[in-house]
Amino acid sequence: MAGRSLNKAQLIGNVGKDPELRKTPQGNSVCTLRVATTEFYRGKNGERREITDWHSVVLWDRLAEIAVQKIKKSDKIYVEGKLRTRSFEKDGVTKFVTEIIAQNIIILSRKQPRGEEGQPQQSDDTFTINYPSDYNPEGSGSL
Amino acid sequence: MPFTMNKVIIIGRLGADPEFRTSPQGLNICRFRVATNERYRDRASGEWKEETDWHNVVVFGPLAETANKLLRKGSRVCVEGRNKTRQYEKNGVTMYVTEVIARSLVFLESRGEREVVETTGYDNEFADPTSFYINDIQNETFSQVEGEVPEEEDDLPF
Repeated sequence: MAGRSLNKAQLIGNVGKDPELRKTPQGNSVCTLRVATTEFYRGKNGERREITDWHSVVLWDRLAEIAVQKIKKSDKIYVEGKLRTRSFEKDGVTKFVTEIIAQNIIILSRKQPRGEEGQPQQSDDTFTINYPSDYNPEGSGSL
Repeated sequence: MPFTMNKVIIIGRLGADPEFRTSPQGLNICRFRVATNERYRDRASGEWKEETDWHNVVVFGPLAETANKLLRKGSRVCVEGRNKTRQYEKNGVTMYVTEVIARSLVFLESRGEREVVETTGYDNEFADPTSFYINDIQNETFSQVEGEVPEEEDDLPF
């Protein structure tokens, strides 16, 4: 059920570095991916320019554990999830960070290892965990 | 042909009236915050809980004037755009803010009133039209408009 509002973010971008698995104090698995997207635009003199945006994508539980095994730096991935902003204190100042809480990840391209005859090996490059609508992956965890 | 995608779709209600201003370069900027709600079952207690997320939406160009005219606190809107994080200085501290830069807006009202779809109006096939304003918005600060969560009206189920 979609409810009365919608909060959806979709990215296709490149992973900035190999993901690391962390554990919350409550014992939940969590992992943060940095994903880059690039837009092209025209500068003031009409020249073609580009700008890169970095996104923090948070994966929980099973999604985090699978990602750490399968996703590497430079992989191109599709991310689908929701936007969530949280606040934290640093040096007495309240700061905000907005992250994409991932619900679905598809690996689109990666550096394939070569088989004996030089052919790329088959691999299962899509994994999906669709959380049921009444499940909040962050429910009992905190970063 | 671009190699990446950056897409955000938000449907929700405004927490306060939009802010509108024109930059010294003549750029129209409209800002507002949209609330989305989510119900989930708490894993520990098993009870249903509701969480609200606030989204900072920025509209540039011709669409900004329309947004400022049609949107008010409590207005329901669908925003499609890109997610962008920028930094600014506040009292010597580097702060980060993430905004949804709108590419298109759909003005939704309850009870099936007339719907209007407007886009930024830029048809540049080589570039994301919202990137056009990058040079002009580097040091924009966002006044944190604290709005209450708008009350849900009884929407008809269509």
